[in-house]
Amino acid sequence: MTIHSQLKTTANFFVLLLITALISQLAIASEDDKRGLNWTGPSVTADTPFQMGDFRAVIIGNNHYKEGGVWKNLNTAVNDAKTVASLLQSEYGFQDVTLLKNAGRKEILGAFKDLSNRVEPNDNVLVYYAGHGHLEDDERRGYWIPSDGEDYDDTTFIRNSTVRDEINIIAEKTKHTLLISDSCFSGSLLRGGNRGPSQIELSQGYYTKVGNKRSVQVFAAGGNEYVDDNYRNSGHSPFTYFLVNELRNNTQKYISLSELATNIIKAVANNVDQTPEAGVLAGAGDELGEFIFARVSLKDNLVEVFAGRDNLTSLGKDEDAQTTEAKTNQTSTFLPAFRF
Amino acid sequence: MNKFSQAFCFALLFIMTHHVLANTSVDVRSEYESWNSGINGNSSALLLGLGGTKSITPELTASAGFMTGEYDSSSEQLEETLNRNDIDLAIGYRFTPNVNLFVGYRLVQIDYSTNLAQQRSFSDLTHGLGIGVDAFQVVYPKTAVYGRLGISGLFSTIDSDQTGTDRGLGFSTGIEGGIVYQIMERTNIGVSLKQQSSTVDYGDNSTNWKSNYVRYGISLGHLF
Repeated sequence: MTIHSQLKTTANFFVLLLITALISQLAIASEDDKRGLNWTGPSVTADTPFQMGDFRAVIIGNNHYKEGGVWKNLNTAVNDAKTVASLLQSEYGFQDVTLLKNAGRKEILGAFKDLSNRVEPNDNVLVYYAGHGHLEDDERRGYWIPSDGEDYDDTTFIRNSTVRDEINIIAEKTKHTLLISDSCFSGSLLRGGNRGPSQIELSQGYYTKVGNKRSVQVFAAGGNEYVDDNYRNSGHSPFTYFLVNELRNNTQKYISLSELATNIIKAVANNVDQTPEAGVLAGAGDELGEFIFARVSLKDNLVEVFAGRDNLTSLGKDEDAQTTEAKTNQTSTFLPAFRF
Repeated sequence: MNKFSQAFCFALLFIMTHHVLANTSVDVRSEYESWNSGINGNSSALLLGLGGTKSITPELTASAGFMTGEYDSSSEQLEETLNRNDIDLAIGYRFTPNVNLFVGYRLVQIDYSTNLAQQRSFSDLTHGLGIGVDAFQVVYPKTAVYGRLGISGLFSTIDSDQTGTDRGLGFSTGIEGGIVYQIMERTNIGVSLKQQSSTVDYGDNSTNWKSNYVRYGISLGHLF
């Protein structure tokens, strides 16, 4: 065999492998074609001081509303949602993230239903909403306004009580549930719940203690008030700007919602005329637990990936969630085979 | 290869991708080898390899590698053609995410054709058990450097129609360093440099055999 023929054989090997790999990827992607965009990320189940299931999220961002209607288009909600989704996936180990952009009522409620069918008993579930909110004049009923919401026709909105019911259904099935709502009047979601973050005892056993108790928490961008859209042309609302800022700059391996909320509430209140609120969802089975964000740094992810312990999706730190496809968990090495 | 055979191979690979190769990484590699046997002078060759590593558990892996090369070498005293096939089988245990310890079996089959009147052709079958370790470090997003060290015992049998059979014992050490870069989510390319030394003692009636290889490799890997 000459070098020329060896090179030709090599080229054939590579081409065949690449074609097979591409076909395989397409096949895997098509198997996971579901509503919205789902993708899986690195797992953070190793070495935790408490029982920790999967991290799942439904992230909703609505910029576009019906033309000519009373709900004007927003500037930052979709970007807020995309950034939060990307951050949770790449740095906080959320394996199952559904991102909905400019979603209608049916789509949002469908995503809740899909999520409630997927959750497992020890999972950590986060729901994030950025978009218009509405509070009736008598302040008795609050709403999320989906992209297909029509003027003041509240039958086309999503009632806060419906959101709470959906969260309740999920919370009954899992350990930790957190609703983050970045919309006007989102504090009305907390009505009847205990206001204010929990007392934080930063002792050694804090995370074990609160991580093992059930939590159903709500973190709202404001009380019963209007909230700003584009904070200092950052492309984010002030609430999500500081939420993302805190999560990005967090250097702790674990951070509870109460810890996170304390800083965000101060930062938002100090800079804009709104005050976020954090508390629990009343009647949903909260046991004074805490939703805990577990940081998985990019470098840690890479080590896990090259060690073959994790999913490769985390290697590509996707800023645009649209380019990310659903992948199944993989356990294999990423290095060439060992030879003596 | 006719179209039917190509289609068959493609279908077979596709099925393997989904069923047999789950949780398996496969790499193809090409290595340029510079070889100094101490007896036969310098030679070089282009080798082709196929390897795979299957994760049985997050800690336990099984890997297999195959390399082949056929090349000519010549010196003032000797002209020879070598046909070489290497097989490596190993079980690895990952003590930490970055460090993996391997034990395994190595087999090298070399068929020689020479211009020596007394030994026109002979074959050398060398095999043995080995132990090795590899470690990697992520140095930049999507990039990791790795190093490997292996040692194996060798039991060699040289069969020649003219001179009969010689048997020898020896050992081999290898050290390898490389860089892997992720070009797609599940696909990587790598470059590597490997230096390997082998010594076999065939006893009083034969010459000890020593060799030093330097291999410059490129690889393409895919994780299924």
